[in-house]
Amino acid sequence: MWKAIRYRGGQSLVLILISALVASCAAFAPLFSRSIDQALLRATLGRLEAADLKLGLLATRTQDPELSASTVEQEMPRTLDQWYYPGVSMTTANTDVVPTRGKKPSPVRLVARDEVCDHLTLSEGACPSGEEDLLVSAADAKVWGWKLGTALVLSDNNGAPRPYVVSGIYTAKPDPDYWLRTELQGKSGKVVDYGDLVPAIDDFVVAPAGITKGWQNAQLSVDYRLRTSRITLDSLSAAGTAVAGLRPASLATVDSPLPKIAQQVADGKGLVRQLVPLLIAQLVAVALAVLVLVAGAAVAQRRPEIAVSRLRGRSREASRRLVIAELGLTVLLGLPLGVAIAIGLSELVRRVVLPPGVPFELGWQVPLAAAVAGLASLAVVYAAARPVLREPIASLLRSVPPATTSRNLRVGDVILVVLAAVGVIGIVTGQITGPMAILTPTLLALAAGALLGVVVVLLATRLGRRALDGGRLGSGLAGLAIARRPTTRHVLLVVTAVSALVVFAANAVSVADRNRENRAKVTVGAFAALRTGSKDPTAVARVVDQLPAGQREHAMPVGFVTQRDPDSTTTLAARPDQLRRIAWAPPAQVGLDLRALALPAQDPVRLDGDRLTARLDFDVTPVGFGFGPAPEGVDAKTWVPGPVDAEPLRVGITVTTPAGEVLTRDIATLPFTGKGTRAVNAPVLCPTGCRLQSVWVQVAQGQALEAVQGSVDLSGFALDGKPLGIDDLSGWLKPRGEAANLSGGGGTVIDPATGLPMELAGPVTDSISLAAAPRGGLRLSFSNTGRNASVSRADAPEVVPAVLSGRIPSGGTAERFDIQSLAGRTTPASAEQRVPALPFVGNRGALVNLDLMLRIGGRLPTTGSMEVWIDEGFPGGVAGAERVLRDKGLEILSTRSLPESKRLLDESATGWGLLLGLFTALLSLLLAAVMLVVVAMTTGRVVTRDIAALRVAGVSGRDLRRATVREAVVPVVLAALVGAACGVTGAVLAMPLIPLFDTPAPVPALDLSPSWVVMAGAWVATALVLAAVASVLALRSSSHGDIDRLREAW
Amino acid sequence: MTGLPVLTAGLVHIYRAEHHDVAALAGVDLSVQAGEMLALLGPSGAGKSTLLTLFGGLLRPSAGRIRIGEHELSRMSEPDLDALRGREVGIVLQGASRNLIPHKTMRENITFVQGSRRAKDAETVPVDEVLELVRLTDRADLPLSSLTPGELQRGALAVAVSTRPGLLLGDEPTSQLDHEARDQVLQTLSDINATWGTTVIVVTHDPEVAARMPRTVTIRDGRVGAEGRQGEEFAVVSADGSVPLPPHVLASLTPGTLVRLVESEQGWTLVKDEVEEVPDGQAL
Repeated sequence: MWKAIRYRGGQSLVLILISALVASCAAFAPLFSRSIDQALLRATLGRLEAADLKLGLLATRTQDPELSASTVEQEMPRTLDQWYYPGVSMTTANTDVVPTRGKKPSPVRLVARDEVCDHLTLSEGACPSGEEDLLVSAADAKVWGWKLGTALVLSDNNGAPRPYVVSGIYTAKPDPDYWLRTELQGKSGKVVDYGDLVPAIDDFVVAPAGITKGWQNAQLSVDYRLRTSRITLDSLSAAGTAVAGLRPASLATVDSPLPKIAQQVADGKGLVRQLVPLLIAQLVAVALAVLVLVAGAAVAQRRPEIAVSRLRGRSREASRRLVIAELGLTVLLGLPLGVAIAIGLSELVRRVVLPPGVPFELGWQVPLAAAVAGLASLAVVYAAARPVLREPIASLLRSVPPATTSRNLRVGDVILVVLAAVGVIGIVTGQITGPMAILTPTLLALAAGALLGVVVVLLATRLGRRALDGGRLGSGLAGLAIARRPTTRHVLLVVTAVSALVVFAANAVSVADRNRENRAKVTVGAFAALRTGSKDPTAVARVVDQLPAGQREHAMPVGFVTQRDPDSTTTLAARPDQLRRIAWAPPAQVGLDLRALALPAQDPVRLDGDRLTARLDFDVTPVGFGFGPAPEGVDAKTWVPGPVDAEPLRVGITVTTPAGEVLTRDIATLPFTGKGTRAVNAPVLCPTGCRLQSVWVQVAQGQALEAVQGSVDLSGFALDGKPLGIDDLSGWLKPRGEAANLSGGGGTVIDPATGLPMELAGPVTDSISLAAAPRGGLRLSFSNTGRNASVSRADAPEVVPAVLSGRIPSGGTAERFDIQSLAGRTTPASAEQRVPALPFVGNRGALVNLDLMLRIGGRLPTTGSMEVWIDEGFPGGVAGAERVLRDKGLEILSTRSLPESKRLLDESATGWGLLLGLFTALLSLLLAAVMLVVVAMTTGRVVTRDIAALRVAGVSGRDLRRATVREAVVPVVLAALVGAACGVTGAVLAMPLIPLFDTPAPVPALDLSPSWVVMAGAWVATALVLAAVASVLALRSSSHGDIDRLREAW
Repeated sequence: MTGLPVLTAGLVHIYRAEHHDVAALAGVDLSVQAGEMLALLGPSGAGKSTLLTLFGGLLRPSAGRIRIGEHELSRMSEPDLDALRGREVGIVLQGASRNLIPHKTMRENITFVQGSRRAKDAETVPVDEVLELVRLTDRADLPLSSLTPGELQRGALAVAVSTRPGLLLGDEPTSQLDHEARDQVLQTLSDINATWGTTVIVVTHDPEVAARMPRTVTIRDGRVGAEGRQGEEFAVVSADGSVPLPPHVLASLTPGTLVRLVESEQGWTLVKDEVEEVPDGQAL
């Protein structure tokens, strides 16, 4: 047997290699799937820090004053110990402390944490042990002069004073695994809003006994750090289920990402389970098709041996055993090689493509897959041998096997056509969805290849004859040879399928990559986004604006404020020109029209002084029943007018401070009736300067009159004697709602809660209008019932223009909806343009002009952040930008970048799975090349004999070479072209059904347009490679077609 | 096993081609005695190889009967034919390489033939004895590629007779051999016939081979055209009374020539009748 295998070493090697390829594909699928699963898990765990992965049990003493951290800890099931380290319990309580005599109280947190002193450096004192002991941070000790023995009085949850004594001064040792993002320090030296702005104070560390009685609002938590090394694919699901089922009796809440991670990984595994087998199945199908061809050739070459066997009296069965044993053993030799190749490939993928930490695993699926591959290869050998072994012995004895070329469709061809038709119809009608669609191009191509075989044989005969008649010898001979060769249809079938697979896979990989990049761009917003720790938008904008040339034009400040509801609209504030230049607009949507976001031309009026002066002329009359004649239907005798202040009508201005505070300042009070003139001389009370926002009138609350109507003329505005130049109407916004529309709504008033303009709802009588006063200045004509009615400066519109992505926020309309200003205040906005998505905020955002927000002013709320976005041209890239901004004093909390964001998307089940498509395509190309070699080997003798005969007949060597090359190349190029068409059709049909992301996102919209250039490149590469192989083989045959070949047949 | 007699009666074989049928044999009546050596002669396409193939059970006759020893071939099933070839009929195909398994040595080829289940039931000959008979003992374990054409042909004979068959069929066993090799092969055939009494039937074009055979049968147009015994050629009267004339006689007696059979002391004499030619159109 071994001798037989060695005798046809080259052929055996090809059989072994193809069998190995089939086995390696089959074995690679489970290896690759498992590796991707592991990579998904590792990538998911690796992206998160220990604090993100912890399991936290959190409880309060609200319902059980006796509850302690140890009680909560006992509720952790022991079964979870295998996945979590022992818990670290912590008790915290919020209170305040007067840091030093005469100061306002500052908020402070008491913290008692397990083994805390092991993680602190005590510069003085000792670990707290008694109820009254506490540690203060070294920073606070320095700021406030606290020393050992300093007495501090805190208010417990009942408001009772509780004395504590400084027993030590600490500095926290960095240990993320212990602290799990619990930060004791970092607050000292900062200011917090605690009613007033007060200095922040680091946590006080106390003994557990220090937060017992009187601290019923204390929070008790136990944090369990995940043993990531013990979380495996096999244990993840169980761990996730166990955590999800955790229901502590103490009503403690459970906080753990593990169930979500388990679900994510399970979802990813599901995709992998579909994508990988479907992709590999196509490669296996092509490999088996080639194996059929090679096995058929091998059996054909053994015809004389089968004949000898039968000649010497062996039965058909015995002869079959003989052939199948030899060829079967040969293909089985490929199994271990195939498994080894699969393991090697898997190892390569593990080391090069997948993230670190993916273990090597050889599951039971691998030998099973190899066994299935072996059985499939044996079945192919059996199927190839069967027809030959069924031949009568007289046929076997013929030195040339009978021709089997058929011009009609065979049963297998018909089956392929039917399957392809079913597949296409299934996709078009929606019956086939999801990853099954990946099979479409291969099915189409196989059917097309089968049909092409029939067409080419017919056409080649006709065209060949016509060419011969026309004296074109090369073309004629090539055409007739193509029609005659039984292998033509094999070549057409396999090359068509391979070409389709390559073109489709290249497009799929390209489209997927493009969409991942699009999504990454939208996710990041620009090439990179550096999130700062600053809450001061003005300061961040100033830093960026002051960057030197060469850097400044590559960076932009961006602010955003989210709302608590994750589904709410996020405000994105940026400068339109910079946004257009640096940010990435979401693809496949209309471009952003940023003209409407342009900053108003009117400059702000800065009130950087002490006193505001102006002339005020008024002419007002009261309306209503609070005084004067009795209203209709009221007895005049019993009518008692209500109380009315002597001067109930207030006139004032609204200013905004640089911190974003909105302040009102009364500049005059007027009677409810009469005419007169007042000289305004009022303090501005803006030590750091203010921006004039509006002028308003308002009847004081509690007046027994319905309204005051009239007008107020303001002129000669000056600050500390310097004219402000605001008398001109053009510097003011025309109020919405006119005096004529008294009851129709639309009046603009200032919301006392926010200090910002708001639209009145319901029937009102308030209104205000603006006109030029006869004597110069402004005339405010109004009807006021007590609401603040204002006229705003034109440097900031009352309704902020915005570009809105996604749906309109609830309760709003496109013309008017609420957004959060950078100061975190609800602000009316209007959608000047609606788009599907915006950079970074996706489909839930409102883009506004950053400079407008800066004019309005304010510090960011806790849900807001300032970022600096840069483009690729920033000198030094991301690192350079981080360094520069840090040098400018900005704290950089985190950075998003396109490459990193893209990498995160690449490292996904779909990313890796589709990458396999490329591998599949390349391998199938290799298989097709091997097939061409096999075809050349099997038909070589016949071809060279033909060439020799033609040479003897007088055909020139040039014509023969031309004919031989055309005979080999034309079917390959033709099949590659038809295959490419199938690949394109498959791409159009199937791409919408193929999952491109593990977690689909509403935006950006998927861009599934075919990558024509990539597909054309794939086709050209396929055609070139295969045509080159075919040409070389043909030329080789041509050179061997000497007269000796003819003698072999004699 | 001793030699097997071969008997055919009215043997017809028609090849079915795509658009027409070709009668390769059109009624062959032939009797070969057990232990006889016979050469089948005839022009290309006469049907001699077809006849040999029918003797080997490789084809089934379209009509007529073939008897090999006690076996009526036309009635035998395929497994029985396989068994017949495994035990009683050795066949040497034209071209030595078609008789041998290329990756085996000569010894292995013989062992392969003797190793079949059917051959085990046969009266096989020790391998060395077979090799000695064909004078290949010293070449027995060499690769076939190192053997000369004559050695390969003798090897093919060795394989065919390794089960000591009663009938040895050879299709052009000496073609493409030089004289020395040809003589060696012929000698081997004679040795086999002499040693085991095997009936030997060979197809040949080579007159020298024919001359070395005790009996020759010339097949012409699918029939037995002539027979030669000890160098003398005879016309053979067929079952329907026709007598195919030898080609050189046929050259002077064109079809349509009238002859007269004249009885004399030596037997029957064929005499051409000298008559005036009938003018065209007046024959009838």
